Amino acid sequence: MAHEISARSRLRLSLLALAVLLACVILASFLIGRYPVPPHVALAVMASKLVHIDPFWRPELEAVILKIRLPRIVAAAGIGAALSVSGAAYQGMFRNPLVSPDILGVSAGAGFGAALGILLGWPAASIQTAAFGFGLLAVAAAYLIASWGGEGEDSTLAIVLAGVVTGSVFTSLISLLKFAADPTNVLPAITFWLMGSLASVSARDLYFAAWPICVGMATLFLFRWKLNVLSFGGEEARALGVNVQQTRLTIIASATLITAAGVAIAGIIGLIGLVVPYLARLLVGPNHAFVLPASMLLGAAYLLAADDLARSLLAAEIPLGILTSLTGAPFFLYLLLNTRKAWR
Amino acid sequence: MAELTLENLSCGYGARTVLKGLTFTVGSGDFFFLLGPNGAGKTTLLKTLLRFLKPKAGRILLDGQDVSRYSARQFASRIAYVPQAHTPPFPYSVLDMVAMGRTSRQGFLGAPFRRDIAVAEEALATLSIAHLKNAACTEISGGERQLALIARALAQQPDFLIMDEPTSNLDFGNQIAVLGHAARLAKEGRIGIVMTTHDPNHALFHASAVLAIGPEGRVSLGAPEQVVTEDYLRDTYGINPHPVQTGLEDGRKVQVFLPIHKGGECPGIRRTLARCAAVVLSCLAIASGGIMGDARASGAPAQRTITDMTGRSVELPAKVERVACLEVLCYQKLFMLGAAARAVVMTKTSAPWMLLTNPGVRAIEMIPPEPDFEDLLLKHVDVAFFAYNADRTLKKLESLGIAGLVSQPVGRTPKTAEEFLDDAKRSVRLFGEALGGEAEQRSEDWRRDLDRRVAFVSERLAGLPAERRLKVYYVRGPSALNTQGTGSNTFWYSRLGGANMVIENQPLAGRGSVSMEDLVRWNPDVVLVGRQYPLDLVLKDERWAGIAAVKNGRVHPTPEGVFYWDGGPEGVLLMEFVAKLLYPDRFAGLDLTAEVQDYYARFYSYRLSGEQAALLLQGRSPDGSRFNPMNN
Repeated sequence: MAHEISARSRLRLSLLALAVLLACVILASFLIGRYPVPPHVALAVMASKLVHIDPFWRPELEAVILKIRLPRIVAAAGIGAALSVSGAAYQGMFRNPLVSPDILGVSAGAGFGAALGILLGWPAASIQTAAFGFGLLAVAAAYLIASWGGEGEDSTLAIVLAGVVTGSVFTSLISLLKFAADPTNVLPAITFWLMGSLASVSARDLYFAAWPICVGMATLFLFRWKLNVLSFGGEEARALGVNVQQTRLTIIASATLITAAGVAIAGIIGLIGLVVPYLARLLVGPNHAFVLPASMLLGAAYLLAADDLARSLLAAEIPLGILTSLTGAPFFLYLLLNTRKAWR
Repeated sequence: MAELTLENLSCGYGARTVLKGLTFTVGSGDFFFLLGPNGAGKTTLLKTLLRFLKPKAGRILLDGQDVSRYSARQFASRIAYVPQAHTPPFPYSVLDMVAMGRTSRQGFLGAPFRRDIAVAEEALATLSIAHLKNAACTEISGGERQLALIARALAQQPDFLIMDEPTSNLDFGNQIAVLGHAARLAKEGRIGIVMTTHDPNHALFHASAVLAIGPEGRVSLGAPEQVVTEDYLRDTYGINPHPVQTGLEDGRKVQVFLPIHKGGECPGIRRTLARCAAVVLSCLAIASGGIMGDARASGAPAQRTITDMTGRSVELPAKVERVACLEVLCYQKLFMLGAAARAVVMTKTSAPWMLLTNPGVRAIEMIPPEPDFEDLLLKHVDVAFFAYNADRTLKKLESLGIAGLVSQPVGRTPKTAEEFLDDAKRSVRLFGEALGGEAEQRSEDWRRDLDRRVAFVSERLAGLPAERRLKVYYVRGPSALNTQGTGSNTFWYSRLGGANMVIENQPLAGRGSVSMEDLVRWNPDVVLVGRQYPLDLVLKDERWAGIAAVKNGRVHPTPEGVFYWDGGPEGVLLMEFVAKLLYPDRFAGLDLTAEVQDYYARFYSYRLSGEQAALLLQGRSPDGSRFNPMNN
């Protein structure tokens, strides 16, 4: 019993360490940027929102901290946490460490929605809504195709196959839109959008994405124990008393809400949902009760750090999707080479 | 005392019914065996019992109630499933895995509490594997894993265990251990066990009752020694069973069988029809050499040589009548040089004033960025103007014998205004030379006009010190952070117009991006919004609120013409526009409306009315709108 308790408290300690790491990254992110802000001013500006401090700083410093950096930090941490936790949930549900949150075509669908909006010259808010809507539509289509195709004993395979198909259909539709687009303006706009960026995230974007992301994350978090059971496969989970269909649908819906909202405001940010859960598992073991919170904390810190690089490395903003994929790719390779060792 | 009853049950997959009319009851304390060869339907029956498959007919009753009416949780708290030992996908600890057996007895979320952990530990102890609780369930032996799965089922505290061939894949010793534990559990009387097996001797040792499935789905039900007979084994497995009497520890005597091979064919082969289809794929290699031939032979003989923007020497026909515009800045130059009608195809562009000034443009076929080269051949194109793309367009045009001229600057980004103006002139001259005749004359006119305008503006700005030049930022769109640097018209013409471009010397071309923090740092005095994007990109974004240009109401739209002023020759007008906008005192005498009208009359032979010129200068389209769907 004593040993058992110490194992659990060690895991709780790991989570605490990750939380401290995230707090440090958040603090550092307020200090990083192309506009020089002295650390004490940054801290004072933040503190002044909680307690009264007579401003001794120039107003544009406050604007930099609160209007430029704060929304980006919130967006990067939130989207990083959300994509990672959906990745972890999907990997558990599909019983495969190489699954990422867009396996069912949500990113392709959202990309298509955005490309369509850009092509038709819609305003930014409508482009976001289109991206979000088509992301949901793509996954709904995959799910319906899979359940219409018959109730197999293990329907995850059918869902994944249907997801791959709808995903590739939407990818081709994106190409079709790109092909039809005006090459000087619309085409690069679509391309840049798909690369992903938090450069122009504003408070309005946060309001847009906060609800689906929070609802999705909270739901996945509540289902962390059931994910353990689901990872033994549909039949066993059912025999253990889980309503498999309903649970799967809930997890898919939550992960889809999250990913579609994330893509809608930040474009397609790759690999994070694949790599972070893997790292989390290395740190806290396989139990989803710990993998999920660890993925949230680690994912938030990871995307925040990547975005700090994106906005401070060069004068021009580097698309975030490029950075996460570039830094994530070596991990992914490691993952491929070591999958058997880590999983079996 | 719980009872699991099958009533006239038929089961099967899809359209196929495997077993028919089964009726029997299993009670607490029973150890019921399902025996039969591979493919006989044992697993089908098991899955039907577990509700993974729907019965084809009949029903299954648990304490008199149809099991289909139980919820997943209710069912799992009565009937537990022990799958064949498998490697779980994640290396959960044995205790974590066994604790998952508590799912059906926990709240909605399934979080295990102290009591659940205690039940799980007790289950481990029952099976004598308590020492494994912290081991990863992926790293223990197959026999231990099977016991752990039984422990998980026990943690469900069910009335029945349904076990799927728990002894297959186990070594001799582990088979006996697992069976022994199962037999003991049944004997204790609290639970009943239904188990499938391949091994008739297991049934003979332990079963309280056996359902034996024989050839063609015939079933016999009864006590093990009545059902598992020599005849059954011979008929079912195609072996010569050799009976052996043996005593058990509890004093019972049983007859078991040693399997002896009958000789001849292997029984499995009889049922299995192996169908091998050999698929032969033949690939046809199509040699395509020699089809192309020499396209040049069909055109006019080459008579002159011209140097394009890359410095390549290209042979051109004497007369260029049919032109392909494969880059966006081409059409405007053709139009300006009086040769718009010679364009047979053009890359799609849709700047606001193009259709008004030259309705004939509608007759020109608009093509996607990647041209259809066969179509170019079909249209007998004399020359194609394209942006540098060595690997694709250049090679392809060369291989087809179509003269191709790179008509946008290549390689370097201008470092000085002189270099920039030189590039602008060279590209116009290239068109003049290629088109020949009057066009060449017109290109000279344009060069002189450019020099005159530059000289005029420079003269007026002379003596304006660097620190008094206003800081300007250009919004290229679609985002306010997209801008252009030293690779663009906007940078150089605005600088020639006296602006201090905050983008400094960043070599951004058509569409780069900068960070919001840089903008706060630069704090531009004036923001220009190009390409007919809405000023709200800047005005409605709270992050811009503190920037001087926004505070002082100096966010202005830039005009766009036959092409956008950030590209192409007409961009020279941007210089005068910016100069007048920033330093109205120094350019009091400069009438922009007249300048635009003059330029349009001279180079496009189009008379803009005063109203139209004013609209253009407000950055609007001929219909008065400032919205271009092709822009975003």
